[in-house]
Formats: sequence, structure tokens, C-alpha cells
Amino acid sequence: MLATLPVVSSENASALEASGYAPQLVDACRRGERSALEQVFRRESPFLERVLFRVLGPSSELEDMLQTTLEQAIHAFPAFRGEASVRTWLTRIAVRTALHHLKHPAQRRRVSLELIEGGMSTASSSRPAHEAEARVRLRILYEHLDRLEPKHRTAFVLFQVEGRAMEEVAALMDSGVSTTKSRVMWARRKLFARLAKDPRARDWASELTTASEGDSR
Amino acid sequence: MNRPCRDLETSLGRPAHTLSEAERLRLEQHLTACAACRRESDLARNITQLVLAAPSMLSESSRERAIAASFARATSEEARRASTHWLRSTGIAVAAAAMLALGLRFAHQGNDDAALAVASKAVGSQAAPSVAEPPASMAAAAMPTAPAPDQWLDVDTAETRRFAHAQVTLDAHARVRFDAASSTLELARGRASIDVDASKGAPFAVQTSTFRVQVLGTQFVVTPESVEVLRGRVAITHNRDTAHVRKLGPGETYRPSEGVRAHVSHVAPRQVVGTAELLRQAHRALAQGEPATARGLIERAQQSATKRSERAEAGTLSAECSMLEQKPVEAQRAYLAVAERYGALPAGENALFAAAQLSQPSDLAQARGLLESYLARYPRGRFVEEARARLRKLAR
Repeated sequence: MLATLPVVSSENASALEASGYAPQLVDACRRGERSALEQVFRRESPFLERVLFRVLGPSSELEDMLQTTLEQAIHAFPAFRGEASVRTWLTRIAVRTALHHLKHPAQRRRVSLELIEGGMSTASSSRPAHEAEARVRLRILYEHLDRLEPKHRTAFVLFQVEGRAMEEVAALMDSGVSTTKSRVMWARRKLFARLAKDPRARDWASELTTASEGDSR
Repeated sequence: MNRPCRDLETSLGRPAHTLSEAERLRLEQHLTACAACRRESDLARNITQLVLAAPSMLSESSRERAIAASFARATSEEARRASTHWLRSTGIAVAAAAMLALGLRFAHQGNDDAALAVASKAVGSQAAPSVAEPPASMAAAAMPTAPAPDQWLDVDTAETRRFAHAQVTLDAHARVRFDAASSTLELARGRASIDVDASKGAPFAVQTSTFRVQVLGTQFVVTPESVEVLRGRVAITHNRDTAHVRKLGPGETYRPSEGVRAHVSHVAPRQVVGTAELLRQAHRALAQGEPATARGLIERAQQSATKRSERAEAGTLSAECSMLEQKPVEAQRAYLAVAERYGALPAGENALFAAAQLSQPSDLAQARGLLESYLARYPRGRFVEEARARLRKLAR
């Protein structure tokens, strides 16, 4: 049965990858050199965006959150000691930004409807019906996640969805491992119980992901 | 939940590579016997797959914009901190000077002990730098967001700046100047995309040589020749016709070159590219959970569409709006309309299958009918296997 468990994308399996940046580049970032910082940000921003999206859900403020994360990184880079990889360090800032946003929702809402070049499904997609369904399910999921305590929700997303180790989640959230474990467990139980009671989610929440599993039960 | 379940709770639904060999074996044995944990494991896995499969919300240009804006904000924040530090140290020095003066006054009046006490206190507290001039760091970090009122700003490369409560992205070679007293940005050349924080409740305007745009809480794009509103509303006054105020809403464009009393036009039927752009905007609005905004964009796209595929896509998006609004019956109706009109197109096939999936649980006959129609019409279609699997499930 475990053979049928899907393998989550390898990005998180290698989240603790070596920095991948030349020491000179990191030093230039510490000195605040813009071109060096831009180089790092360009490489890391897609990854940071995904972390923010997974913690916050579909939000019109994602771009703003990414901007805030990078701004914090600019201020904090002079103190970066290199004990963790650059990506892990930036992820920690992103998690902190997301938590702050969850605890203090912004009063304003700035939605950018500027034309985008890509990143969105188009009519050429072969499964628009599935995408629409997935969007609805995602919205329902995050409605329930929104009702969790911010730290519980964040811990759950980082551990369960992103597949990070408990110790890593604890480090990203500046918490102890046992506290983090409690948060994950608490979030799971609350979330799963609510999804089970939500008529909109009942079907897909219990839908089996593989036909073979359905036939055997 | 019993003890073995609790012990394994955090392993349920986790990807295999995150578990040790011993954990995997233990988990596998437990799941064989425990239906409750199997269900939880499936749910956890479904949630993970759902979130990981979601497409990126931001485009490359959005991320570039965020990077550029982060530097602008970081620079203005440093300038603000330097200013606060300078003001604080200036204040300390001024207070110390005042105390020293007070001490000298006491000395003049013959109160030596009090004078010495005050003077020494003044000297001791003056740990701040000289107040003769602001520190060099502040001069170097001059506010990039607000040049002097009569000072033009020429931008060599695209950048984002803050003017009062508006975030303004200027294209390369734009020329602007900002009057903070009236919160008016004067645009002499180039293109500006403006995002105003409506929650401040404060006015903001853009002035060109031809017209003035008064912001009512919005996002819009302005050049010296045109204004296009992306979100919210603006009021436009032509410089030569100040009595006549035009209001623009989302998707509307104003061009004074059409005449002094040029009517406000909805997004004019542009070339095909325009319709495609509208449809992309509608996709984005849906992704952000704004079906009302999406509907407006879809309507405009339908007016300007010249291709059947574009009309089919607009119809599909309209159905998705209904799904977001949790109106499955309406959504199904919209999908069926697309399936009927555009059956020969991929969108038609997709729509018929989507309509079948939206059949109510109480109406199995309809679900079966639609799935069978799908299989009959598209015997080698993309969703044949799924349609057959669903029919088998309905038959149980």
C-alpha cells in the first residue's frame, strides 16, 4: 500500500540543500549590493511564493507578502551568518511574514488585475473542468484552514503539505519540536473533523485517489 | 482514537520518503487493519495533492515587480529610520543645550550650585552627534518616493515608488513630479500604473497635459493620452471642459483624442489579442475568488470575441463563476450550453464532461445520461476512462 503513496515534489526533500551560492555572492548580499540581492531574489522568489501561497492560500495579497519578505531580507542580510542555507533563511522570513499577516490581516486589499503573461491555465488546457473543481476545493480547504489558529495552520501546512520534518518546521517557526508537534496534531484533528462535516467537502474529502484502493475496500 | 493510532497519527498521509524504514513498515501494517486511519491517510494525501497541484498565482513579471518594490520600500524605510534617529538625536542635543542655557542663567543669577548641576547634566546627556547638519547617511538615503514639489523625476529604468498612499510603477523613461500638498502626481511622459490604498480615505490624483484623473480607490494605468481602469473607479476631468466629469469603472478606457466630449468607452473591441487578455484577466479573477469581477471581464470578452474558441472559453469561464458562487445547477446549465454550441471544439468536450460531473446526487439518471452522451459523442475523448469509471461507480 505504501508503494501507492505519492511522492511529494522533491523541492521540499532538498529544502535543506546547500546554499548553491558562491561565497562572494553571499558577501555581496551582506554588503547590500543590489545586483547580488536581485540575483538571489530572482532565483528564490518562485520558491518563496509557493511557501507563502501554501500557508496563506489563494490571496490577492501574495505579491505584497512576497515584497514584504524580500524587504525584510534586504534589512536582515547584513546579519546573515550562513549557518543555514540562504533558501532556508529566506523561508524563515517568509513564514514569519505569513504568520504576521494571518495574525494582523491587512485592512486594505490591493488586487492587481494587470495582464499577466503566463502562470494561468488557458483554454488550451485539456482539463478546465478539473481545474475549476480544484479551485473550488482549494477555496473550501482554505476556508477551513482560516478558522484554525495561525500557528496551528502554519505548522500543519509546513509539515503535512510541504512534507518538512518536524524539526525543520520547529526551526522555521522559532518553536520547540514538541510544541510544533502539538500544533500539527491539533490542526489535523480540527481540520479533518470540519471537512468531514462540510457537505461541500464530504465527497472529495473521502474520495480515494486511486481506483485500486476503492475496489479493495 | 486508540494508542496505536495516536502513535502513528503524524505519519498518516506523509510521503514515503519522509518516513524511516521501521516507520513505513509499522504504518503499513497498521493501515491494513485500521479503516479509520486509512481514511485519514487518504484525506491527508488528498489535501496535500490539492495544494501542491495548484498553479502559481504570480507571473514572472509580478515577481519582478515585487523584487523592484522591495528595494524601493527598503530604501525609504532606511531613510525613515535615519530621519527618526537624526530627529531623536537632534532633540537630545536641543534639550541639552536648553539645560546648559538654563544652568548659565542660574550662574548669572548667582546660584552656582544649581547652575553646576544643570550644566553638568546637560553635558552628560549630550551623547548625540552635532546638530549642525543631518548625518551623511540621511543625505545619502534621500527619500526616493517624494522629490521636491517642483522637481521633476526622470526614470531611466522601470521602477516602483511610493507617493503618499499610492504605489506607482513607472515605465522606463517616464517623467513625473509629485505635489504632496494636493496628493497630485503630474505625468509628463511615459506610463504609470497606480495602485491606491483606498483604506486611507485620502484623495489622490494624476494630472496630465490633457486631463486630470481623480482616484476613488482603484488601480489604473495612465499615459498622457489615455486612462484605463483595472479596478475600482476614477473620475476624469478634461482640462478644457472642467464642468464635465466622467467616471470610469473596471475595464473602461478614456481617450481624450476622440474629442473634448469624448464618450467613455468600454474596452473597445480590440484585436483578438484584446479578447485573449480579457479572458486571462477573468481566469485570474476566478483564481482570486472574485466571480463578480470575472463576470464583468467575461461579458466584455464575449462582446469583442471574434473566434468561436474565445466564445467557448468565455462560456466555460461563466460556468466556473457559477461554481465559485456555489450554484451547481446554473454551472451545469452553462456547461451544457457550451457543449451544445461548441461540441466540435475541445472546450465543448470539456464542458459536457464537466456538466456530467455536476449532476446532483439525487439525479443518478441524469448523471448516467450525460456520461453516456459524452462517451457516444467522444468515443476517443480525453475523459473516456474517467467517464467509464464514473459509470461503473454509479452502477453499484
